[in-house]
Amino acid sequence: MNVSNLVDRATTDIANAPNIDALEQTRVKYLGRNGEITQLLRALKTVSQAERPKVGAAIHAAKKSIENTLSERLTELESLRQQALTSEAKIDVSLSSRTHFRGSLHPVTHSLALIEDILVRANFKVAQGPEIEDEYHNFEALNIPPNHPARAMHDTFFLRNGMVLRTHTSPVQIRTMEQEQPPIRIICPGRVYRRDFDRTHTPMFHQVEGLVVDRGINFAHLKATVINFVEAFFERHVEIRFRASYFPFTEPSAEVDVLGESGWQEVMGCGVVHPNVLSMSGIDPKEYSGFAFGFGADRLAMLKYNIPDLRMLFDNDLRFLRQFG
Amino acid sequence: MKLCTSWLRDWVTPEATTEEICQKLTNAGLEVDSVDHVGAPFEGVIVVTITDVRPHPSASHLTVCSIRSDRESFEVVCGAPNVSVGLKTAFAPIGTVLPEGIVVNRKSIKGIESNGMLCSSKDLGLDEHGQVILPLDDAVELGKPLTEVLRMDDEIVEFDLTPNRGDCFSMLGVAREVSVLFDCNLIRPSIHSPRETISDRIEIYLDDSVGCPLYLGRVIKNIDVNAHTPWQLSHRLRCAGIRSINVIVDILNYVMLELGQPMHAFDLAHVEKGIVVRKALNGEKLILLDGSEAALDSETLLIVSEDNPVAIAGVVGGLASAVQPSTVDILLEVAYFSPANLLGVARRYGLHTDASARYERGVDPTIQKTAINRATELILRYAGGSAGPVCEARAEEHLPKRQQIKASYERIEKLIGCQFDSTLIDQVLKKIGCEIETSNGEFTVITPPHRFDLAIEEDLVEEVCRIVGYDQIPPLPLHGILDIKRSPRAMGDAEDLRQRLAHLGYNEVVTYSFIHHETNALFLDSLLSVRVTNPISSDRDTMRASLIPGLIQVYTYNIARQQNVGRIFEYGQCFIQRNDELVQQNLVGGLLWGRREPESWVTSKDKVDFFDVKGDIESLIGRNCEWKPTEIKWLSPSCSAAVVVDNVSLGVIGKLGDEIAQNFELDSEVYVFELEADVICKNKKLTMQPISSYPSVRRDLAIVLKKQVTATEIEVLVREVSGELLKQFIVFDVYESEDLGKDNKSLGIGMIFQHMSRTLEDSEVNQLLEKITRQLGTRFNATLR
Repeated sequence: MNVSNLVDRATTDIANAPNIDALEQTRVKYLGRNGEITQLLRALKTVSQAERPKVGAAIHAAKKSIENTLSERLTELESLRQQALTSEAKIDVSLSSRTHFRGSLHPVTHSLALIEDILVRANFKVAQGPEIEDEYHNFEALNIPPNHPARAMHDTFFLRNGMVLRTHTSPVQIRTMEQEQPPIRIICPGRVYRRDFDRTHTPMFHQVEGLVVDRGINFAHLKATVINFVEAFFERHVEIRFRASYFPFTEPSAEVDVLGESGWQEVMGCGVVHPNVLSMSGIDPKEYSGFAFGFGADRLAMLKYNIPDLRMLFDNDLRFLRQFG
Repeated sequence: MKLCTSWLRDWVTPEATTEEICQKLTNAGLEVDSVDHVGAPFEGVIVVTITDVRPHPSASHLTVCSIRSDRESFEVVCGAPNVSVGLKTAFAPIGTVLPEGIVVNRKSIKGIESNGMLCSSKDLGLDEHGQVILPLDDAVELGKPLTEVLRMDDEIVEFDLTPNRGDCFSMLGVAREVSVLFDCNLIRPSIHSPRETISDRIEIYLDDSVGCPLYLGRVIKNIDVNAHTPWQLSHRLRCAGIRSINVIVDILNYVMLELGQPMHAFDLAHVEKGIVVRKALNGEKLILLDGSEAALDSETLLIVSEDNPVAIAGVVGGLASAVQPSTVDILLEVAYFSPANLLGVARRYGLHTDASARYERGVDPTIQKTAINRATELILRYAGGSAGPVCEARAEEHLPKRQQIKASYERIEKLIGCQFDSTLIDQVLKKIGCEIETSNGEFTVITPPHRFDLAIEEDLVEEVCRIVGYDQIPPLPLHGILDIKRSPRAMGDAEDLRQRLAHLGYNEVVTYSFIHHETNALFLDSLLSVRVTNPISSDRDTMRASLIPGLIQVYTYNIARQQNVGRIFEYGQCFIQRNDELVQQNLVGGLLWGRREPESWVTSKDKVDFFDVKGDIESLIGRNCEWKPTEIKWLSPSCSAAVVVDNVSLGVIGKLGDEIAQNFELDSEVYVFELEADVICKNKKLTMQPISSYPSVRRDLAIVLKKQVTATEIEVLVREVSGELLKQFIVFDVYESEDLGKDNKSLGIGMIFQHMSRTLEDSEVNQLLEKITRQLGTRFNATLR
């Protein structure tokens, strides 16, 4: 039995295998279940005790050598096959495809969806209401009586029928509190209107207001909710500051600023719900307390998507919109 | 409100930079909008005094002045009329570059050499007064750089005050806040009762003592109204953005800025018969300071003398009784007008004044006496004159009282949500001027008179929080019951609707809900439109009844930017006034133009048509819909349809009508749809239908029939005949040609039959087909081709 002769034969056969299938047959011929090497190994038990280690080592070395040669040839054949495939291709796959138009959602819709997604996970329910409101729900019920100086903060649009375009979505909170008793945990997204127009103000924008009313709700709860929300929205750690402010419907009240590249940016107003607002809506302020927050989804979209001018959101330039597909 | 920091430092001296002060004030609720320097500094201009004035030998309007600084003397030619010996003024020596960019050169003016320039405030870039040279205070040191004298390095801080903090509408108020926040002393200017040297009194009668519970008046005679306002006062006024008028008005404005109490001065001649404070009578009129005439309404509080209105209380004075350059005797007015009475007055008359802004928010009801003494003191000092006694009319019962607020430490802590030592709470409340009476955890807080905004326990909570700092309150996560109810998700189910349209290749737009009333009328009867009384602009005066006008505008905008292909949609509320009912409903509308497919070597060049929109809407609705003819005035009558699902009309689709296309000057075909969004969202229910496991059979027919027979009519007939066996009906070909006759068309229809519980026999399918063919013949006169 000449092991080295066997290796020579195998090497020749392997080199002559024209393709991967043939190579596989060669492998079977030598290393398969009834292959020559396998048979030699089986026959090892007939070799004398003394010779056996030496012969065994020789067979194993031969096996190893054949395996290596096989694997080298396989790599070679694989790459040949790839080359063949490429040269055989009849089509230019780099030609443009039979494409479709890519639609997109408006950046404000993206922003609203994200906002709702975050808050719904914290068990907030979504409540909506009419954009044309009566003055009671837009002002009086929010502790803003007629002629109150705070009305000047709102620059209201009036309609001929004595109604107003809501200046915030807070009326939806009122309508909810009028109908439900605590625990209340809602967000109110929607379009709101104020007579204002410049780089950072448009006469129509999208607000989201949140309201939580329950036993023992406090300012510290408000802080945690706002901080967690803002960080979830921007998907990073954000420097946030709360500073004292004034809204007729909350006490204490705060403005929330986030630290951006150009300094502090105002993003939100919030506070502990004023007891007058609770009692006007039929909720006992001695038993319950609450907090509320409100912000512009457009403003957040600007910050998140790096949009320099609020008005771009309403120009609806297709080259702008298509970036949000 | 604007104030300069040099003044603030007279009142409080915290060891903090301007930036640190502003930061802390902002965090505590006094928002600082901006901090600016007074002006660009200028080098070289110094203080001089005029030592000699001679007429110019060859120009009558010019003078030759000798001037002297601390070290040198110069000769200059000057054209200002106010040159006089002894006057201290600003001098720019040769080589000075003035803020306006003028370089001062040595030059000969009509034969006399001028060695520099005496400057007006305009030359120095301070204001627009260019006629006279800048007069400076006698006390100013000669030779001193003018930038130092004018304090050009002073900073102006602009505050954005919230409506509740009327107490901070003055230097006193801001300084008080700084002293609380930085724990430092408040250094008040010493104000003395001036010596009364005349005994002239004035009668004051409060006819409306609710609107005006306190009115102080004082006669001051023989003043010099043309006296020069001292530089420090005018500097501080200028920093506050208040124009200098005359010494009297300037002093009153100054005291208002200082103490927060608005004041007014009348020319005594017009009010000496006494003052009455009453509501206006309908039809009364008053010529105001700016010369305009105000028609007064009966809600307006007036200051009246001899039944002639002389001022709108707390807002503005009348022209006739105003202090003029000729005035020698005046009556000072310092009053407390109730904020409730003044609310809305300024807005009604369009007169927002410094006084009305303060009275609306409220002023300290105990500061009037101090204010009148302060103003008198300054008038006597700077404009001379002799003061009479203070005359007072007071209705104590209508003056606001200091509030007593019952509070408990426990409740305050509970509302804040963290532990606060009761001594800390006491300390904060005392710092802001409250008095505290404690008993067993409960306590009563007596608020200071200037903090009329504090009324309930929650107000005290805010004071504690903001003075300690909002950042000192650790956040506390919410807990509560997690209730697993299905709640309407993001934007209702409309999010799904929007997603589907985006997947169909549409770009979502958001347009303003207000449009022009004429545009709206094209889409609706104008009687039913909802008008805005105070629109942002005249072309946005009506709430939209339809989304289509907004979409057309987006189309036009993009066409102008070479976007020749587009599919857009909007989801939003639209508004109609239906008799007494205001209808606000959510619609979804879309608009398509240009090619059907993006341009490439392999796509069709065809433009979109009716069937693109129809297909998109079918995908969107996801159920069987019927298509019915419709007459919508803004759609083309030959190419439009109503979508009906379960016998409810969801909306319309079609080509935009010619009238609209002309109106908007559209130059290409535009297809649109508009549907009721809520109905689409609501009716979507998923229920499984059984699937047959037996083979289906397809049969095709080519039939010739009249053109006016619709595909739906054929389908209805086929369904009627085949019943449940028909699984699908397909029109695979529509063909028209001369050979068929000009009124005829040929339809290729495919029918797929299948039985739920067995394999269909060929013979029964054949029978069915025969029956269908027969019925098509009898009902539509259709023949097999």
